[in-house]
Amino acid sequence: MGVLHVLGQPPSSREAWRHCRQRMVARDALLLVADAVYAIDQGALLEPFQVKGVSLYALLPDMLARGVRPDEPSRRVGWVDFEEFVDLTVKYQRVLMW
Amino acid sequence: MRYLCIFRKTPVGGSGARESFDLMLTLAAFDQEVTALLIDDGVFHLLPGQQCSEEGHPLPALWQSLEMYGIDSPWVERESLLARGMNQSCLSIPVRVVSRDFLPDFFAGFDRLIGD
Amino acid sequence: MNEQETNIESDGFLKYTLQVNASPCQGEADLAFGFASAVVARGHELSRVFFYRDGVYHALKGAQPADPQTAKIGRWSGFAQSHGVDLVVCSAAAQRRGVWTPEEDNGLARGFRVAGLALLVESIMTTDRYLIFG
Repeated sequence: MGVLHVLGQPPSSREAWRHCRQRMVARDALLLVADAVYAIDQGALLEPFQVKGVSLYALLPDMLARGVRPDEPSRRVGWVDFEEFVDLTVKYQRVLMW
Repeated sequence: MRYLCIFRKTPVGGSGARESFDLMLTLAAFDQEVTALLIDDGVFHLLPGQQCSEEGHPLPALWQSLEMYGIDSPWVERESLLARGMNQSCLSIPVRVVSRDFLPDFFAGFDRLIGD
Repeated sequence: MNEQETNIESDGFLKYTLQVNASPCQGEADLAFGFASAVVARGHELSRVFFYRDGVYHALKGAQPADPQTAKIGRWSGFAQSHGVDLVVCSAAAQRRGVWTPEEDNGLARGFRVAGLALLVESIMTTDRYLIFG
């Protein structure tokens, strides 16, 4: 099992996004929290992660708080609440925050 | 249990770097298997010639004394060095170099990742 | 030792240690609190929350619950009381920021106590999961 990377930086923090992405491979998962959820409205940022084949998640309460709507038709990103965030940490024993 | 302490941020300004370092030393003091990895701006930790002020920027000296705490030479990501015009031979202490492509596999060798 | 095997033996319930580096006014503090609450809600064991770096500001007394922003400071005290979670403030980090001094050992918010990094390390060594916020 890979690493659960948790990213909270806004899309404008290109370096943070790049740094995180560069250390990920297909077996890893990315959870978007806080301002990182704005990227859901900007598909281009998530594409490279999808190309890598990593599992993408976003923290739903943080999306709702920011008015970021879940992308129902494509479902590129799995929405999780806090308890499902905990479930992810059960599955992935290594966690790294960015 | 194997711990990987990851330094990603610049060392000077604020006490964050010092406090991450203290945690690493405390783990080592408990005979835990601790490894240090410097990536991104964390590689600046090992830029030689940093002046230690009275106000407590003792990190350069602490990196020199890692062995005393039972911690082996740190690993440094090659691409992070190159991106900053640095290389292995210009650093303040001997290091081991790991390439970016290998990092995900490198992570898999540890039970806990500890970010700074 | 394989952690995954341990999970199975313990019916999937794990022991967590959380470290909070963020001050109460930073977003990561909200993330930490939400996560801590969910750990308990899921039936896992949250043995200790260790406040380190700017996280030690959580232990400041005197939050006015009327203001939702400052209520965030007090919420850990209530959480610890409800769920029996040990709230520990790093002594060195707290002294460095003037949050606590050994001479005046009564200034912390309810439910918080002071200890050294050794206690954090002991927690990390004896729990299944360790997460750092901020």
